[in-house]
Amino acid sequence: MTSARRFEVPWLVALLALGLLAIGILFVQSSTLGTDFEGLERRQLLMAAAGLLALVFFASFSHRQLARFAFPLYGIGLLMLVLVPFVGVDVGGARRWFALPGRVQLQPSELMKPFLVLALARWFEFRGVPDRLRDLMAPLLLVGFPFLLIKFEPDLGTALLLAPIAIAMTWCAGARKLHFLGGVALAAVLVPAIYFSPLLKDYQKERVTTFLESVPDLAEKALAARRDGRTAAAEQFEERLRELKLGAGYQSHCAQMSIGSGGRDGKGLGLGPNNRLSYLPARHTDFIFAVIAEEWGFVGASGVVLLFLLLGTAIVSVGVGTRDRFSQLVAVGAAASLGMQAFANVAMTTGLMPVTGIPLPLVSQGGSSLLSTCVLLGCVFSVARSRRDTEPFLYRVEVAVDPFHARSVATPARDSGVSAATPEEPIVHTVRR
Amino acid sequence: MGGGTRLLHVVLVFLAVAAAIGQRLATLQFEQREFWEAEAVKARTRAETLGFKRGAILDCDGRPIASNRTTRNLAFVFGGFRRGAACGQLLLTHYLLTGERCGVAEVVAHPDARIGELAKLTIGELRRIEPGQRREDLLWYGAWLVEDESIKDGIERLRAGDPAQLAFPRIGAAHSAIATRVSAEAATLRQLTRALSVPEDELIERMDLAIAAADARVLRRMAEEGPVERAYERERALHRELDHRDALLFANVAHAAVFDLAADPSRLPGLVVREEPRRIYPPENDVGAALIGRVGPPSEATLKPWNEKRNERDVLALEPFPTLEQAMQRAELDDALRLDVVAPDEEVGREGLELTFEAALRGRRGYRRTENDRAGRVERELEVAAPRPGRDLVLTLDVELQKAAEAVLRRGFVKKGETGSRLGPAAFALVELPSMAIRVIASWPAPGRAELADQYETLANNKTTRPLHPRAWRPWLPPPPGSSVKPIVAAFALSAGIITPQKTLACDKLSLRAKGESKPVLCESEHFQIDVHDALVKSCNHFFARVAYSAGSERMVGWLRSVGLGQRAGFTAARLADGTEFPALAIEVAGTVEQERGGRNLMLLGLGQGKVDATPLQMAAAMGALALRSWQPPTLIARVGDEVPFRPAVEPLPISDAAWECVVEAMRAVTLPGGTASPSHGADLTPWDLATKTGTPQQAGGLSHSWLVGFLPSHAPRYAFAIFVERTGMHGGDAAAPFLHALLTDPAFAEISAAARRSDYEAAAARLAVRPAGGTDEESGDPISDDASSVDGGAE
Ligand SMILES: [Zn+2]
Repeated sequence: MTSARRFEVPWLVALLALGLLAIGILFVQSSTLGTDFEGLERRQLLMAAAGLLALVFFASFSHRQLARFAFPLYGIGLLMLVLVPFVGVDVGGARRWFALPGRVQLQPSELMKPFLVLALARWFEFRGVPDRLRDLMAPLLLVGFPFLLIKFEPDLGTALLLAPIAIAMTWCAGARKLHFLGGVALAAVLVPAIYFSPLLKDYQKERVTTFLESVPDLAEKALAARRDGRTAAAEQFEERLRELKLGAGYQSHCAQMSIGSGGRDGKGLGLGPNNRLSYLPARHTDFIFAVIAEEWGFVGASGVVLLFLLLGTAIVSVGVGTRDRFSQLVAVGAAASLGMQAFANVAMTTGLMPVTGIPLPLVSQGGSSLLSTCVLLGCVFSVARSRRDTEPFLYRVEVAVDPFHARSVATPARDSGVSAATPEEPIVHTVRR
Repeated sequence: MGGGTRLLHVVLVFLAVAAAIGQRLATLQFEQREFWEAEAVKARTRAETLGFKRGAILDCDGRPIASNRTTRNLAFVFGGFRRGAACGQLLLTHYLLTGERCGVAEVVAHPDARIGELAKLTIGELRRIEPGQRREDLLWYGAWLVEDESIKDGIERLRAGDPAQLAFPRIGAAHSAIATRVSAEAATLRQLTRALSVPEDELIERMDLAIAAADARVLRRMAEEGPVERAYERERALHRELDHRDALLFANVAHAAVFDLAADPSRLPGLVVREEPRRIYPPENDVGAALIGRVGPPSEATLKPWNEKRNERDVLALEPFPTLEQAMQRAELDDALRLDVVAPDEEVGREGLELTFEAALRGRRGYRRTENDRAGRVERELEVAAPRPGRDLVLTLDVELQKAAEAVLRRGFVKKGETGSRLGPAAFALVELPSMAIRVIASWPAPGRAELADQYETLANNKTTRPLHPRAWRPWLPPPPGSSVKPIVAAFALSAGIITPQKTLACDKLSLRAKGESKPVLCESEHFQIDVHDALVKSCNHFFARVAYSAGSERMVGWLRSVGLGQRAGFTAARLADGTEFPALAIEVAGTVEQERGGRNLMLLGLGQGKVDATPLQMAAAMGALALRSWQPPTLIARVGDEVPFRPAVEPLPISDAAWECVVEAMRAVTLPGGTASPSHGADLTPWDLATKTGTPQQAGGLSHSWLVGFLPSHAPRYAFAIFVERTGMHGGDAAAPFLHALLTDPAFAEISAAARRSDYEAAAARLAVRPAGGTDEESGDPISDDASSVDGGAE
């Protein structure tokens, strides 16, 4: 919007990402100290280095080059997803990974996220504002294929994370509000329907019901029942509590226990008893936020949430600062992917959401997630430079400031268009909706 | 619309979600912080009570009569077995597949069949397993079976994904590894079976029984609860709740047999060695079971404080906002429950000294609070209160002597002229002088510990020998001491001047009557005029009847009481300096000495008949008092912990030197030719320097008893003793003397025997010695007084 936002390198994004990465390495070390996984932080450091290479690699392309590679990359991603059930390694019964040399395992579903962002951005750039329902069919297919492939890997959590990317990008591409309201209404009908349909496994339903119950409330109820002499009721509550603590709600309970006992200031890095004594499952991967909350307390945990909020906003503002549709949509997609995955992970850890296996981007240990995030950030870095791009636009953008509300006339204008020097200048042919 | 509005929407959504998360974090970390902190502490700390070591009961030389041994029990924990052992995992996969339990034996014998049925399971078949929980469980057990690093890596993600395609194809690949695990476990089982030296299949059979019991427990609970909606889940929850309990397979196993398993429990998860201190009574020192008593689980009454305090604490725990006072009260209750109050799983004294000295023998429990990691390994100790062991109880009893004495009594005695031995109820008490410490208190019958435990009813119903009544200190009916009290009466009467050593009294065998009474007092033979020496040696009844008559009821009763007759010996009681009192065993028998109005009954008191009876222990103590010329109650308790219990002051007895010399001289002659225990009677006791007296009292309803009491060596008394043989119908010299002979010649009594032993020359001389002043029955021709009243006059 203003010239102050024009960065060649979006330093704020870079700093925030590096900060989160550093916190991640710190806590991977803290949560693996003295376990079988000790020393994993060095591996994570190597991964980070590899990730930075990937970032630089993708950032080195101009946004036009990225746009040209968008569909081929998407195609490669899809191919990998198709292949993974056949040639992937079987870990814990699920085939989600490709084995690469050097004990590196690559998870194509993670890489699919940046490729999907690029592909969707490319599509919306190409097709203009999707104001008819059938304009939404192609994006739906673009999301639908990878969604189904990932869902049947099986990895429902990762698959569901494709949704916010698609929703945010479609919205910012200018989809009609009516279509969105319709979508919301459809979801309101479908979600309960799916819950009661045989599509959801018992254990998945169990996970939904357990997250709806609160252990402190139930404990209070059980105590009250004991006090009033309602033994039968008390025993029922206690049985339910046992199930929540040790059965289906075990992971969630452990995570909340770690977070809650952290208090305001936390127990200190490497000193959290729940972490140190292995009371927290998957604590260097999916539940690393609970370790942060235990050891750094509310201050540190809300700080990390704030960092993610700032990172998301910074990426969006990179988008705002660019002047072409593709770049803006890439930025929005990247922000939605990173931000929503981070928030979903934190919500799962804090018991706001049922437990699904999704890592905290940049922080959780895990190469594929880190690589995918770096690729995404590389794309953001790349599109951030589009502002100064000397290359003319493929398509005329009538309103440089808000291309999403412009009805695309799509006049090929390779050498005309808006000069970089006067972005705010209103343009004649704009038809406002 | 302004530029970037829709992009702003994205930021707004971020803000809203972040705010919701922030609020959630605040709820967890501020509002509910205490709750979660408490949960976390509860999850990672473990409190265990540490049992104390019960004080031992030792004999005078420190031999343990009752002590503690760490006993080892081999127990089975089904939960650990099915989770950790390959056999257990296969047992479970089979159950989850088919719904039927197979035996451990079957898994051990044919592991391949069990692995095979898993390996050939297709995904379609797997999907048909219902409900989902059962399917997931099957997958978990499969994953544990494969024990593969990559499985471990992925196991934490398992819950996140659809497990429909889990690990079963891998089981085929891991087949040989699983089979190896099973055969290693089978080898451990075989080795244990050999080491425990039990029949080949015994161990596995018991494991199967324990599993069946675990299933039965769950089914019973489910039956009690009635039909539930999700039966499999309920069954699973119940198993999880109940399967961690120990099932005892073998109690008290040898340390060597379970050494390997105890050192490395991972050899066969589910089989555990539990160690606990248990009361044992070393068989080599197991004497006087009735006296020592036993331990057992606490009675209802003993557990009352535990139950009350626990209820009280539970009520307090429900208090939502406890006051400081309530909090302190609760802490106090917690401490009491943890450390002091008798808990249901404890061993407490139930009978005998174990019961009366409970307060000393019992220590104080300790406890330990530890921080543990998820696998249960102790990370650090938060709080430790060491248990305080109980105090040892040291008895004056000498186990070696006691055992020898019990053996002698058990063998019975051989009557002169007979070949077979006669066995009947008998007792022997030995008191060391001058301490009055009881060294031996032996009886027959004396049922052993095992017999008491197994045949209590039979023993209690045996009305002929009444085996539950140790004759030495707890006879069914205390016997009259008979003539064995005569030395005491004589010593007091001589000292009181009622008689003199030279004074003779008349004995006409049949016609001594009290004034105004027609029933006579009888003597065994006609002694004519007899002095005190001969009256003791020949045990003349008329002499002592006249002495008693002259002394009068009050003096007679006073004399007898002053040497402990007619009252409880209290030999099992103790009082400590801090005022703690340990009462004597309630079952200790007292005996009676009652005032006689006069007449014939008073006369009988002089012969130890009538209203006087006593236990052998009391008679041994009375002999000790005579030997020392002072009274102090005998005791069995040498020390409680490091403390010597308080002893009542020694009370000097009014017995003059001359009287003592006169009486002891006569008592020495009892075992010499012409005495009632002379070699011509039951046994030749002349080789020992003894001061003894026989007794042959009548007791209503049967044959007469036999006594032999006294002390040794007579010139410097070190031990007083009493031998009692029930209803032999024989003289003390005939029935009781053989026992003393057997004891003095027993190797265990060598030291005592040596202390009293005369040289061969002295013994021969003693055998031949004839008292110059006195004479034998036949020689005695002194005139006698046939009138009791004349004695009365003479005495006054
Ligand atoms: Zn006589």
